[in-house]
Amino acid sequence: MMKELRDIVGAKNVLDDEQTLALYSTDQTLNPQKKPFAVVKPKNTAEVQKLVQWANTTLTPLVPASSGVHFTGGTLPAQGGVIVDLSRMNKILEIDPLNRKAKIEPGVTWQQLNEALKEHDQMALNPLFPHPQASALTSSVEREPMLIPKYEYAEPALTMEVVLPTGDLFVTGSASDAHCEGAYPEGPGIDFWRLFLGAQGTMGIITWLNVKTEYRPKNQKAFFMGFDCLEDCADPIYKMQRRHLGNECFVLSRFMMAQLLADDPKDFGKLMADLPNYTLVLVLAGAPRRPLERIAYEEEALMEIAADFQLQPGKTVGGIAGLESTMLNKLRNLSEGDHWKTRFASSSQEIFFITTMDKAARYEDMAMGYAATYGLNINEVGVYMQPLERGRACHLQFSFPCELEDESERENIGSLVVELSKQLIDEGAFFTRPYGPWADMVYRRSSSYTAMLKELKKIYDPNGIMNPGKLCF
Amino acid sequence: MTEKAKNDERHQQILNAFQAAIGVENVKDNPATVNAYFGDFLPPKMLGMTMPPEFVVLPNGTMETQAVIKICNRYKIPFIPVGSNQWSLTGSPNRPHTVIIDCKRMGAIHEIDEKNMYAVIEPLCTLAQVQAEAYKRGLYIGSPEASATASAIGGHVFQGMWGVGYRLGVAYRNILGLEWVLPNGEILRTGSFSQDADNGFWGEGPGPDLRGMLRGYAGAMGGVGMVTKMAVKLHPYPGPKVWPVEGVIPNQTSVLPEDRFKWHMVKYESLEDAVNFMYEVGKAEIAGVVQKWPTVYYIMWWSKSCEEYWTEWQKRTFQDNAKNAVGVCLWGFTSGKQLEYETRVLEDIIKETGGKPVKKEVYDMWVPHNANDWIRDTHGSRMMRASGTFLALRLQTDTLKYSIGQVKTGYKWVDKFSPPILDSDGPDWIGGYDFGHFGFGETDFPVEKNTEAIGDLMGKLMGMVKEDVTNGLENGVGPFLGGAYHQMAAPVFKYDKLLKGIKRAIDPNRVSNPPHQIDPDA
Ligand SMILES: Cc1cc2nc3c(=O)[nH]c(=O)nc-3n(C[C@H](O)[C@H](O)[C@H](O)COP(=O)(O)OP(=O)(O)OC[C@H]3O[C@@H](n4cnc5c(N)ncnc54)[C@H](O)[C@@H]3O)c2cc1C
Repeated sequence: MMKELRDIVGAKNVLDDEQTLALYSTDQTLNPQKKPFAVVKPKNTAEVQKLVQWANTTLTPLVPASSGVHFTGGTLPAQGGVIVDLSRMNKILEIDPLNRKAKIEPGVTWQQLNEALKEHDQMALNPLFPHPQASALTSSVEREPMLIPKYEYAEPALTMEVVLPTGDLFVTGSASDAHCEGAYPEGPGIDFWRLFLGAQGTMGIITWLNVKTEYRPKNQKAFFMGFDCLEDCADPIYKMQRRHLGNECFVLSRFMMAQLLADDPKDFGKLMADLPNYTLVLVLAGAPRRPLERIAYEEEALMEIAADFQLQPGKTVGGIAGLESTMLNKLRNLSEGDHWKTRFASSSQEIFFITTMDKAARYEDMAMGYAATYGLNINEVGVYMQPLERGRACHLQFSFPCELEDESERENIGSLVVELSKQLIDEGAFFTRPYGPWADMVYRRSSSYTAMLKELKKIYDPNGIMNPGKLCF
Repeated sequence: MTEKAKNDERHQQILNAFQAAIGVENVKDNPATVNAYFGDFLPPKMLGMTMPPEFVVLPNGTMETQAVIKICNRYKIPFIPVGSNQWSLTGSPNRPHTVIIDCKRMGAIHEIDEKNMYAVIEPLCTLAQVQAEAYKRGLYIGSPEASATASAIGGHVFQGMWGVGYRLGVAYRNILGLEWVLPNGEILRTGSFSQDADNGFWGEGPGPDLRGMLRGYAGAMGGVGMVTKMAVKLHPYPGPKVWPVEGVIPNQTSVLPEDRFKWHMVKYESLEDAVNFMYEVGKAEIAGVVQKWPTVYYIMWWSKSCEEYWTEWQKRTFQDNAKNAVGVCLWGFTSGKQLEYETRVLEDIIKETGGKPVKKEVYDMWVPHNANDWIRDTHGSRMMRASGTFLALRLQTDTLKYSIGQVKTGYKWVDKFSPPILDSDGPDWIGGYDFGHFGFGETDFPVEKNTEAIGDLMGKLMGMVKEDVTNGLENGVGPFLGGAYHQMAAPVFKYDKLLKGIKRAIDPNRVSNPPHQIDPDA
């Protein structure tokens, strides 16, 4: 088998040494280790197709992985097999400023994309301070939430090329027609693209994606508002979003803000002491024309809303010096070096789901209750609320720092995450991206949806070779 | 037993089954009723529509719809779900024993969540009805040029391209949770409905998004069962709580408050210049609607009768003054100051791009009477004004730039097939969407309404579609024809195995409006 793999991608792109296999057997989650028997690194679509054809003949599971940074367990080979590491496919195939889109391969990192877009006065619609080395394609395909809720859409993915689990090549949306420019996702036939999103690599291997980009603002102003409790953030955000205010808009708890801002670990303690429990960040950004005038009318409206809620949006919270420029810099230039989420402990175990902002505080209470019961310091629980689609829904995320080397901590946090997730789901939290243990919790509640997904999977992947053991497959 | 007697017995058996399931009064097989569901806005016998349905049934709710569809499966008879039946091209029977599932008893708005901006509706709710409720709450939903009297679910499962889609979203993204009876009679709940049948606020997942099976660039033409409940997004709206109307039909005007809404009509020398202007407007992230209407649209929507249409056509008011004009409606979502800001930006763009305002008299004809039809269309039927019907040769969605070439190809076809295509002045409709991220182009025109001429033209249209497909052109008018098109296009664009596989899985008895969306056995 190894010979066949070497024939497809070249000997140096097939790895099966213990060290490499160990690296791909774990990730940032507490999911059990799963070992592949090889890691292969194709360089183009043709090689990916050959790998998939090979996997169908040998009935070998294939697990696509786009970068070396994994926070969800999606790339752990649940049933062994071969990891298809796509990091060599890292070209930005096109930047189209006129139609505001970029065509990227799976190995393109957030940092690479952001830097390239800068030259065209564009920016990517990235999630909350992504790991600079994480794959931008995977992030969009796996529906990580965008930081900017001002657009009606929460899905920057447009059109894509996919190697189907049968080895056939398929192109979605208007890109299926070589005359077109790939700007429209629907068709050919039906909205196939939707069936590849959130699929955790079970429906095929995406080899390029057209994603929306937006103008990089020339002028911008960040405002910060401090809150004692999450509940109080919701109504002002509803109002701001209804009036189309601002670009980035999100809420971070004290612990998350402190992690983000503590570029120097020495600052962490002081930040924890100075920051409010919750900080709402709203960036007013100028459009390409008359940018300052846009910021001015938006600021006036912001102050009106703030007065109604007795808020004082300012350039900082907790007296933190230079917060506005620090935040804008972090938003526009993805940082090098250690990832902010692992500054406090070697991992951050996360729970995230979709809900509406008026329900967020109830879920937060639950999370804090569980954290206390499991003996955690509730000040060290991260909370992130991301309004979506003009505030009509939100992504809510809790994070629990966890030392991966500490067996008892792993066990404690692992059990907390599972039990709290169950409770949240019982209470209506919608886990749209069911990774790891969430899959069973979610799919057992939705028999018809699950049955239909299984039917589809049989059509797409008759031999069950693409990332088996994930979702309900 | 004679063939007729056998048929009669079977008819009675099916009738009994429907009546038992949904009540005697909700099952119709009398000629007066069934004949009303036969034919479309083109003369009959287009696309093989040669017979009335055998039954028209009116279930109430998901469970009754499920019962009806299960009965169709038991007897292996085709059914067609219809909304307001405006796209009757695919909503009329094309084979014997068809059952029309009419949604007349499913008109409830179950919920409007004002804070979280969505409504949960049944298939009979029209877009006008949802809009009226939304306005009261400072919210909005779009309406296609077919008019706001279209079923909101029908419009969303079909195409749902509308003016305000430029800023407030197009139909495929408006669709949130669905309750959907599949062709085999199973109930599928998608999005957050999959976890909680009472909460449809979120559309996708869990995991891969099964909304993907519901529609494509054009709808599934009733080939994937019937949606009985849908949660749809609503959008922020800075307008009045009641749609403003002055006057009496057909001479109404609608003027929205000037501190929050302002139409500009800007004329260019060429289509290319007009589209360049549309790009600049999108790039500046201003406006709520950006439309380049063809001159036939101006005349269609303006005229109150066929006579007035042709008189107006000969006067050439719109051809001479609004050719290559773009209508831009600025919306003050944030405040009146937003409108003032956007006005300044727009003026800069007009100056830079060499645009000229259309003449005041023309502006005053169009804007108060008809421009707001692109926010709430109350005059869609006027598209039939000129000749009693209309056709389109090119419809495609990609970049704005791509639309130019497409509509220009459309002109050539229009010339080639004229008559029966009537005068239409290069019918190029181009709309900007998602702040100009993509554009939609369409060539619509009036056509002589007689069976022979249209039959001949439809034959040519199919020939043209075939030629397009052979040349790898996917995004033309084809998808609007449903099964006949997908049969040709699916192998070329490599979705035949997947689409046929899906159809086979959900429709084992091939009962959901065959041959739509594709015939898996062909
Ligand atoms: C004059 C005219 C202008 C138009 N302009 C536009 C336009 O500008 N933009 C645009 O997007 N569209 C346009 N259309 C198309 C129009 O959107 C649709 O005809 C209309 O909105 C669909 O709504 P309906 O209720 O009439 O659907 P119907 O005609 O009742 O149904 C359309 C299709 O959907 C299926 N269907 C209906 N209800 C359901 C359901 N509940 N579940 C599953 N399938 C169902 C039917 O079987 C049928 O095949 C136009 C049509 C006309 C006639």
